[in-house]
Amino acid sequence: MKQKTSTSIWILTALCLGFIVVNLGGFEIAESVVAQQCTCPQMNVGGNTSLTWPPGATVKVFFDDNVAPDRRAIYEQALNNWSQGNNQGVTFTTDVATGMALYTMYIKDAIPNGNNTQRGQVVWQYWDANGVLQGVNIEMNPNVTDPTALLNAMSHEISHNFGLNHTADGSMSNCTSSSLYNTSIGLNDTTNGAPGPTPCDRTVINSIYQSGGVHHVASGGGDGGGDLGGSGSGDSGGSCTEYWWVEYSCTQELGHLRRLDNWRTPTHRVIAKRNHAVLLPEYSCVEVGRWYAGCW
Amino acid sequence: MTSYKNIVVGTLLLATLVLSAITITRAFKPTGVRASSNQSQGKGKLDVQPAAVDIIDSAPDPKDLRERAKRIAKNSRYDKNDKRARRLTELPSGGGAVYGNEQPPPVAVPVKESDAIVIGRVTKAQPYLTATETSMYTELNVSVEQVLKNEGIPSAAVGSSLTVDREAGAMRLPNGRVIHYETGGLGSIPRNGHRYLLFLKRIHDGTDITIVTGYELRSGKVFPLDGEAHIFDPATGQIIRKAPFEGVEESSFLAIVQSAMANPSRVVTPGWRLKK
Repeated sequence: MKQKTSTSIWILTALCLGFIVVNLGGFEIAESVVAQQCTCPQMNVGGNTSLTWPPGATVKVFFDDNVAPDRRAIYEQALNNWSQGNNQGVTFTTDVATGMALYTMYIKDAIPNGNNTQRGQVVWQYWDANGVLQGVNIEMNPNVTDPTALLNAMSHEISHNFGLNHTADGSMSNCTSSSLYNTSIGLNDTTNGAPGPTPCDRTVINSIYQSGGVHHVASGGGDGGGDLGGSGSGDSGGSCTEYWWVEYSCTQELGHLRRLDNWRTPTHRVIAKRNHAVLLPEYSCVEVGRWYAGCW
Repeated sequence: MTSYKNIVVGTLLLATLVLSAITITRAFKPTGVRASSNQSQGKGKLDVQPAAVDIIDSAPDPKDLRERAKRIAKNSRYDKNDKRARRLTELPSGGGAVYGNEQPPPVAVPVKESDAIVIGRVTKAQPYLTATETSMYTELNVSVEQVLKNEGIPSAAVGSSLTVDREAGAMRLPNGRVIHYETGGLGSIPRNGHRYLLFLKRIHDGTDITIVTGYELRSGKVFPLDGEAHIFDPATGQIIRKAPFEGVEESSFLAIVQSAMANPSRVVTPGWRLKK
């Protein structure tokens, strides 16, 4: 009798342990801990300002000449974080000399749109003939000088191009990179935002990409009522030649001419020395962007 | 024997407690965890519809010199003057640009922010490229039917044709290429032939009038130009679309606007309409 009871106890104990192992599991315990530490906010996603890089895209990153080395190092750290953690195979590279730059990001230190209350901004987004994000221009406020604040701000701007918009209720959070920045807390606040991509960011990004990403789609027409003007769009198919648009950045003029960044703003430009023939400007140029121009 | 019974009963109770705890824990799992398990739900497409539904041929240069000068000046006023911006005319056909991504959508009922509030029908829509061809605005002629508010826009009178602008557009160039331009925070452009309630504001030192926001009035209901949002809820893994006052009865919405005008300091909260 004692033996039978003892066996029953062991069986029951084993069953209990089994249930515990099966139901909880090490992975879920770890996730629960993370979730308890950081409650993900409701997020605005998509919209015309949050188009997404295509999965697997290699984005070439160009820095303006005005970006100081220490700030560039912080931007590169943010880009590396996102290259490694976006889960969609999108990588950022600063190797702009080799290969085709189909997707480009240009980073400049400037007060975003002249608004000194903003830490950064994706000032321009461009989409290609298929409505797919092709290039972005980012301006980072030079008055953000705290390294953590700058890292979080750069991460915030990168997150927009993965479909993340701001928190839905406008609240601030350090659980997501794209938390809305509140101008009242100051440019160099470090309590808001995150270097990202955070677990919350990844959850939302996974969902966005599973939905097909965010693209700018061609018009489907309208509701058909009362149109007095306009007409449909569409490109004709058939046999054609493919064309590419190529953008060059010419950072320095050669010969006796001024540097490119000096001659646009002054009222005049030196084109030749005294007693010298007028020279055509020569530039030291590198390709900084290339995108599909269509098939004609 | 009794002690063994106690052990058995105790073990059974413990097992019951553990199982109950597990069940409760799973039922109230923290938000971040459930999101990943329910990602297959709520997979509405997030693709962005163009601000300008109608693609309109670019306008030829005015033959009249005075009109041409006016147009050149207006194209300069709307230009962003950004040397790094790409020329829209060099984008591939079907391509486009959006400017300024951190701008929030306008207030849903911007009574205080508007110089005039009118109801009217769009009789003409024409997009124009700015001076450096890096951005675009659409000029709209509105036949004014009703004026709800007017503080300093003499042309906003009943029966008049009012010229208003929105910094967005879709244009077909003479070479056949189609280009798009949008502004962050702004949604759609009013369409030719359609009727709208428009909140208007003078800009560029009063030279131009811009649409702060607006609502199409169609079949007795209102449909917002701006403020459409897709919200991801980590608790459910769902993406929900919202648009302020969408589908609200026109008469009810007009009452809301008039109420807001009577008490400008009151903040009008939009009654979000859910639509998956």
